[in-house]
Amino acid sequence: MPRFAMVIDQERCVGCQSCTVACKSEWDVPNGFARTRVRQTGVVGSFPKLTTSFYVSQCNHCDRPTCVPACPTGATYQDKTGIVRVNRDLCIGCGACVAACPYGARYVNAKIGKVDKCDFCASRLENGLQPACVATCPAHAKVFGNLEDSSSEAFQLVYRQGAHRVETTQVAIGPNVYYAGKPEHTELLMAGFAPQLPRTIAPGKIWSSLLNKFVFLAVGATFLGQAVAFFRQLSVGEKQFED
Amino acid sequence: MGTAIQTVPTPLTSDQAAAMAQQQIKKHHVAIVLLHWFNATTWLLELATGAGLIVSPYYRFAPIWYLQMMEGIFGSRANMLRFHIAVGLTWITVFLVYAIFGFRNYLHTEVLQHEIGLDADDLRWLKIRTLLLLGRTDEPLPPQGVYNAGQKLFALLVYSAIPVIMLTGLTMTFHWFGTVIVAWAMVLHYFAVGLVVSGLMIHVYMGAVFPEEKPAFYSMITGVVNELYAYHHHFKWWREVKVQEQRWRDELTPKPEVEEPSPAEKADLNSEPDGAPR
Amino acid sequence: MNVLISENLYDNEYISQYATGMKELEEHVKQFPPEWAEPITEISAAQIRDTAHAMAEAKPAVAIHPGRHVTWYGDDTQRARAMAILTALLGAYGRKGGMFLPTKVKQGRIPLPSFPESERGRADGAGSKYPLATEESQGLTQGLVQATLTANPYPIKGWVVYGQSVLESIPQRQNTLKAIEQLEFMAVVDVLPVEQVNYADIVLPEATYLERYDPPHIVTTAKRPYVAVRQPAIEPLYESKPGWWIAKQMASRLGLSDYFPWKDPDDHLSRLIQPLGINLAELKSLGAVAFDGHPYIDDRTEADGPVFPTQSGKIELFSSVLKDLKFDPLPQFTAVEPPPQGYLRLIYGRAPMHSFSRSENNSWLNDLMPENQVWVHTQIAAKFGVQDGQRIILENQDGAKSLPIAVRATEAIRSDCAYMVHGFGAQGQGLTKAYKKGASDTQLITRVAIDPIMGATGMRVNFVRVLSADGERS
Repeated sequence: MPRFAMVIDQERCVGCQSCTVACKSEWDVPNGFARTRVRQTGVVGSFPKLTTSFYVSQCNHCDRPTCVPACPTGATYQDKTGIVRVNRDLCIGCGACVAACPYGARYVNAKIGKVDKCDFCASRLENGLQPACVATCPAHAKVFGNLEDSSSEAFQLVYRQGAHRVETTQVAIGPNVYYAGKPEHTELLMAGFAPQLPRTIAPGKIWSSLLNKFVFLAVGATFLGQAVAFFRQLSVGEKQFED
Repeated sequence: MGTAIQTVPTPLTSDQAAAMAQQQIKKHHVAIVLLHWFNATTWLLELATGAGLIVSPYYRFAPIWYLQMMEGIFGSRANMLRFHIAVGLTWITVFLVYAIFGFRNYLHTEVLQHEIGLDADDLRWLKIRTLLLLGRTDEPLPPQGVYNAGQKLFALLVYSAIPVIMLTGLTMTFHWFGTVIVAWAMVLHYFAVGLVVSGLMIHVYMGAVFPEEKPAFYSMITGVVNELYAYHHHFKWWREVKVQEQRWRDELTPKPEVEEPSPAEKADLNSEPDGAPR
Repeated sequence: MNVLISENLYDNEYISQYATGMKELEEHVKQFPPEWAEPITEISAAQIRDTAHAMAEAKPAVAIHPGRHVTWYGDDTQRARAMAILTALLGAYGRKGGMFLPTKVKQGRIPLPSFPESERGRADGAGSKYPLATEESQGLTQGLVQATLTANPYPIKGWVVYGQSVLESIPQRQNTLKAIEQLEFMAVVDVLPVEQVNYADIVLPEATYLERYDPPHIVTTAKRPYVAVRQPAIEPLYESKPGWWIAKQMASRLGLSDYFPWKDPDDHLSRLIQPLGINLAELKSLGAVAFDGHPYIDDRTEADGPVFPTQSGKIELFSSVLKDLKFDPLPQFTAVEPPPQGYLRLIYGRAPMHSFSRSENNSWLNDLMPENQVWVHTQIAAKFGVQDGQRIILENQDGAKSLPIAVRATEAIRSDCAYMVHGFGAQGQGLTKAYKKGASDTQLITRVAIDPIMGATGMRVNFVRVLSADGERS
């Protein structure tokens, strides 16, 4: 079974946003949203000794995704190849997964009322094509491949050239988008775009903490009441009923 | 005739009781009977599939084997959701039709006041009923209208929860008002259903298991109850029926020399199909 | 150059074989040691030396790219020549790792009847006033504006504008507007309702590149020359027509059909690519076809022609052509005028997602970058009391004001410059997304420096100061 990963070479990325547009075109992403996008890190240093870099964000297809358990209907799932996908037939667009993603990789597509995000262009992969963003990148800054295949470029970048994951001690859920670059690039990336702690939407919090207990209690109490009455009925018999 | 129709329940002679037990009073229109069982079926299906759709470990309440079994029955959860939505939409449509066509008969203030409004007797009934169930009192239950206070309470709960369940269901199905509202709709849907289910516990038990209310259960199939049951459990309603009959009788037989009918003879006249308000 | 020559680090062999004028150059650069350059460039003499040593070490694999848009201060020919001479000293023309030599491909020709001779010559000055700007070059739009304004060398009564937004791309917008007012007739062929359509007598809406055929794109300056074909993905929308159709129709209605002796784009394309040994169907299915290239001197064949297309066939470090035209035969340094007190030099450039002033109204690209910002150094922002993100108005030395534009306070710019991306601040109301979003650099470029050698317009000679958004001096 393949284990897919994306490697982004920060030394090659020039921030042209071709990937963003290719993805938008491929997946009909509405304006104001993106399945992948490029953001500039801050500029550090003082003129003329400066460093900056680009952060290419997208779904990380984490080994232990926080979005999957957050989804009430199970629309978000991890397929056999590790790709985290959204089953639009089950998604009701409640946004629970959007809040749960530490990488801000998800959005609700208002046009269709469903959550959308990168799926490594799974349908293109099935047809033997590269993801749209990889195919279009003019700088070869995005490399997609199978980490189980030691001859793949992605494998080389991750296991031989030290491309790394963007994780913190608080948020370490095994993202499968790797970043290759100089230490100062990594530093910039972590300074601006370190993963956030997963959030739970307010209705979700109320549901899992308060409501579940309340409903269990209410149903349980009435059920118990019935049970008491039922056993009483059994013990007393039906004598009072004079039919 | 005044003297024959009691204003408070009085002990009956065994003859009277036997005669009344033979007489049927129409309680439910056939449309209501059908609607009740349609509703019950829908609820059963919606509860079964709804429980199977909540799979998140944070919110799930059904056991894993149940989720797997339901998924197996429907082939996929997507199909289950489609089914849940289809049944839900059917339920809403039928109720809408009922609301439109039955509006004059069932849904105006007077009827609602009559059927679900709680009066002082009802409040006392609730107290005594609870104590009776717990075996803490022997006090007789206060007289009740066509529906007893427990039924009224349940109706109130259902009447307020049903629009919530319908609206939140539609909101989720059609992604109305955007993400935030959909998220709240999800929780409200669950909450409203939870409340109704806790009420259903009593409703089903009382209707189907509790011995004294057995005629009520059968009335939901036949549409009628015997007069004795009505006299004992819904005295105020029994009286209304009787008063009404008396009025009709007076209109139909204006001859003043006719002797007063006995309660049993009176009951004969109840074979008149429209003898009860409903 | 001073370091390379004085320390004898340049490619002696290459220079003696392929170049002339080394003696003169050697004499000339003696006056420009790194210590001379240090105060001008703000780069230390030591660092200049280090750079020269690093280049010498790597030669000939050193590519000194002149960049795009090289017309800055009016002395740009000489600056470009200086870069070219440095490349020659490193032996990098036609050598691996250096600059490619172009490879010619045999292009088809469609014979046309001869054009009528004009006694008056070109109005824009290409080839006459500026003899090195040859007639084969694209001409000088700025020269055409001047000729229209001054009726010199002769009055110009009409324009047909195609492929350019004259108000956004030609500096000294005030002159362009005045020239347009003087015209009796102006037709505009454009794919977008840019500002100039407001002034046109006739607007001919052209189909976009996704809806039309274009002439074959034959590129000879790549490592391998190639030909690419543009073909419509969809039929033209609304009333728009492909450019070729507009031209051919106009010609036939003016009785000039003989100048368009082809039936349709297929016919035109097949005849132009015919000598390339590839048929049109093949090219259409592939989209682009590359041929063998000879980018290095060692690969050159007879058919490629001379390695260096000069009179001598060699690299002319000392240019006799320039000398004959009374220009400096070796590049001289001309000091750049510093910004006046309280002003910043206005520089401009491009963002990777936008092309000139043509893409700002595109829904997707507009979504990526809806407006431009003016970059100023953090210290300058603090000095003017403006915050990052605050909207300000810029005013240039001639009092021209910009639309409001957001400040980007950054370390990534010199403290005497203000930078903005070109192409924003559109004035055409038809551009619903881009209309009046951001500011236009062109609006602030009221002054130009004409390069006396090639006639090109240097545009980095404008200075701006910061006004707060309500137009008051801050």
